[in-house]
Amino acid sequence: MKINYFQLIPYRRFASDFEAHHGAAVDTPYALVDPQEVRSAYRDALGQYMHAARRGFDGLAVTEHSQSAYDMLPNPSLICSALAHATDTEGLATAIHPLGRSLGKAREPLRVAEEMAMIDCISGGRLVAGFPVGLAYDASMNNGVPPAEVRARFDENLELVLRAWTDPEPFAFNGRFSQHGCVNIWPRPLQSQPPVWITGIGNPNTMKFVLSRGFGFNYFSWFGTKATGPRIFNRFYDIAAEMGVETNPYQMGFMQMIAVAETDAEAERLYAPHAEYFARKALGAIPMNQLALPGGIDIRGLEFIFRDPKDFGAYAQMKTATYRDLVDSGALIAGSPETVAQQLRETLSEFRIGNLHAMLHFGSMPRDLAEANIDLFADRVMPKLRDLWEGHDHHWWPEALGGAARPETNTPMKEAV
Amino acid sequence: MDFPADTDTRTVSVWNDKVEVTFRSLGRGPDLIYLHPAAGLGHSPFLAELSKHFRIHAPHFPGTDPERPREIHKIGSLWDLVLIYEEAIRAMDLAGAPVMGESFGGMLSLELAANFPDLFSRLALLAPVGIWREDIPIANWIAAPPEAMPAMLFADPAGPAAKAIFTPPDDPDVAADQTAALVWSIGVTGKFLWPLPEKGLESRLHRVTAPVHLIWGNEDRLIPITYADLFAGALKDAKITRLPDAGHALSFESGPAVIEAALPFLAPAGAARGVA
Repeated sequence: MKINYFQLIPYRRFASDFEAHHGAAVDTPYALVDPQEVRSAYRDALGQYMHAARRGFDGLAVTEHSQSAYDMLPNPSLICSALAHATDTEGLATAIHPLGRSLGKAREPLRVAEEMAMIDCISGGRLVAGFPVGLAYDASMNNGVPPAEVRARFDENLELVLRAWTDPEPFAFNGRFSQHGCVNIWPRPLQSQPPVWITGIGNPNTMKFVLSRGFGFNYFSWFGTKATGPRIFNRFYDIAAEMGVETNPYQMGFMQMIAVAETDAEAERLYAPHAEYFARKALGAIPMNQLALPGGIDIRGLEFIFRDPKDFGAYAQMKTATYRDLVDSGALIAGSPETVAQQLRETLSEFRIGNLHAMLHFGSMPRDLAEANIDLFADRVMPKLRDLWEGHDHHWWPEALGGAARPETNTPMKEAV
Repeated sequence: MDFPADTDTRTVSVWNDKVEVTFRSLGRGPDLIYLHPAAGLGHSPFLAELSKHFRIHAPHFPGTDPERPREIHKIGSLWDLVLIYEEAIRAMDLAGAPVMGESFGGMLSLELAANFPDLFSRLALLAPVGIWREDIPIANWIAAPPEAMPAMLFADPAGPAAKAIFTPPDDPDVAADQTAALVWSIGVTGKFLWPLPEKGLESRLHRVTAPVHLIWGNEDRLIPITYADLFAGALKDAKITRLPDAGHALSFESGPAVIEAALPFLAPAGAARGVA
């Protein structure tokens, strides 16, 4: 079992009625912030990532969101490069995993390729690359990409990034969205090709794409695993079976919000305000018309969603969600180490998940509580999960960190297209 | 609202046989090309009334024909789109007919007329998009939440026209399919309107030689009526009719007034082409 530390970098000091007046992304007034609190958010987040690395987490997972109050992370490469150097300096064998470098959003895909290659070199081959298609508000509202072009841009950009990493010769690239007379990036990654992960929200076409290319698949549980888990994970495995693709738990990644305390009651007392802050001022404050824009989902997908919106789980309740709602929906796994370990083990086992992205900081949580959460998790939960999936090879992990060579199904892009 | 049974549906193959464009043709009278707004092409009381005066030929924007939703992916640029429409109009033997274009369809009409000045004899345009000023922002209907749409589109958001559009059918499957079709239509047309519905048209408007009649609602909250003057100022031969108590969705909310304004312009005595 691989266990990564995950968090967003949110603004943590909004007034209690923030969500009654503002959304969490795109047009949130920056006048609401205290600049020193923004500075503190970065200092604490980097400190928490390093604390997790020292406590034995396998990787550090970082997202990307522009114009966002709930995640002030317009470019994960900046955080990842700092972490790559700091972990290298301390001799920590920790994967650096930018989960979200949206290639549907990227207008300069070669810059993405270059930045990730630099991170791989700085870290000594510890990069795990994550390329989501991209959230609608970020790719389209923030970055001006027509929603109907986001997916096509993603496909083209991914082809260009992978070829820029792996082709030993300079090449010309004549794409629809970018043209380059000579692609010859310096540096290339240290790894022959860093592992590639795609984050999905349940679109079967994305799952087919991931399986056909042998990439890893990440799913985020923010809308409540109890409702969405059986749908999303089982859909992935059903599609794999239909395609005749043998699955391996290490191909599946899963982000889960987690809160650990000595007792279940203590967990509620310590974490409820921060979990509710996250639900109401982040997830619940992103309107649906920013998460899905016309043109981004094709008409067959729309016909499906308008008949059956359950892939969105408890999204509609997030703006008023209580701690109990979050726990009941599975959006948050919280309690004593025993409670948390048992629930996580059940979920990871049931859905054959080999990579957990443990979100141990959320919402308004201060650094001391985040580090206490990391410590309790590392000391008393992580050991109870470690033995899961022993005997399986991890083909989606850097070889420098014990990953196995990629199987033949992980066909290089040029041959698979 | 379904098209009447005697509507002719014809699909023409254009763009070196790579793109199919479906036309709905209905009514009796001189030919009139109708280019629909971003919401898509469906039958309406407005088209029913208009078809009493004209033989209407209305192409589905590529991707909005329910039988061919993925045609949109074959069109890479606005330039290709304009050429595809021009080929389709000629394939239907409609060159030289007048056009009525509504909102996005109005922008498309002007792009076509700017590139092919002889393609239309006259242009009746219902609150077209295509010009954008930072100090007069046009609301982003593509990203708007559903609850904001009635006030954006209608002078009277609680009136019968708005209710007729925004009250879902009782059958949930029909409602799901209708909503999906509407969202998809806004999405595929949005490919050429995002992030702002301004793609350089203003610099091309001087090339339009056919007379243009701009019909605008005084209460248009999507594209403020100030834009009528901006279009007219950039065109060689344009006039404006301002309709009181009318919003942006002119054909739905103010159909009779639009037809009353457009008829003398589109079918002046002896000027019509292809009179039946």
